[in-house]
Amino acid sequence: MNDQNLLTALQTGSEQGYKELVDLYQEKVLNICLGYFPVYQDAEDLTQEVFVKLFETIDNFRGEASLSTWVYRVAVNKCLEKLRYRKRGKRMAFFQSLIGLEEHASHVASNFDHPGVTLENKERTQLLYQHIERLSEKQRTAFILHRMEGLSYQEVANIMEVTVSSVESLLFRAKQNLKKTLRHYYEKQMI
Amino acid sequence: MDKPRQDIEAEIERTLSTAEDIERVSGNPFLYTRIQERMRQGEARSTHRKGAVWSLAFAILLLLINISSAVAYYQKSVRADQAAGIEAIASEYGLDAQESWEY
Repeated sequence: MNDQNLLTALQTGSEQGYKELVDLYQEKVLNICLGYFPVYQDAEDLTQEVFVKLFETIDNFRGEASLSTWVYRVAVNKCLEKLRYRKRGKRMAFFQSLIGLEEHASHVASNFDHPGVTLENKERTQLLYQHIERLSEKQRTAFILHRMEGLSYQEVANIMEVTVSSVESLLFRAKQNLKKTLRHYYEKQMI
Repeated sequence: MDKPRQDIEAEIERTLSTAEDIERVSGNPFLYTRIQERMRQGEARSTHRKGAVWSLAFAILLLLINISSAVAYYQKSVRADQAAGIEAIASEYGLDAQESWEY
């Protein structure tokens, strides 16, 4: 089934169309979600939410972008939504920790469970994720889509609805910021 | 560049390169069934929520009807009390409102 046929099937509410969309994109969506939330169960729950959102909003898809760009865009937006929700929770936890109610810890540090990371790389990847968490939403998205998902600058630009030069700039700043925070971390380790 | 600084830079590069070493994770074969279940639960929740909203709206409507009836009854009884009071004063002083206007 090509994109147009799949879209027609989805817009007419065909069960086969829904199943085909899940089969085609579930791996991509799951890996994007793991890029933001390296905890398998969380990423799988989020993948389900992304597909529910896709099915609910399929009628709004006008075909201005390709189906894959649209799927990626919905997945990224859902991850960012979840991230903001978590940040609000973290702020509450921080205030609770100030008054001694609860321990404040990084979500990645305490729950890291990424099935795509080998045991020998686990510690180092976990460290990288902890530092990715500190990037701005846009830098983080550009980094995940390009460096982890392997998408081209043009594809990242289409998904983020920015220009290719903006993507280049976001990636450059993301790398600089990661290097800066990692340097600070390793310098502290050496003392 | 001194040795510790070189070591740090090498560590940073190795850590950054792990982003490309992460293997692709394949999807769950039962994902579609789970999504269907989730959508069913969502619909059930939505129906339940709609029911709760209608119940709340009905309760508020009943409350408003009760309050407006109570206010109307109170105003009516105050007006009756006032009229009775005026009549009582008029009769006590031997006044008749209708007659006094005739003069």
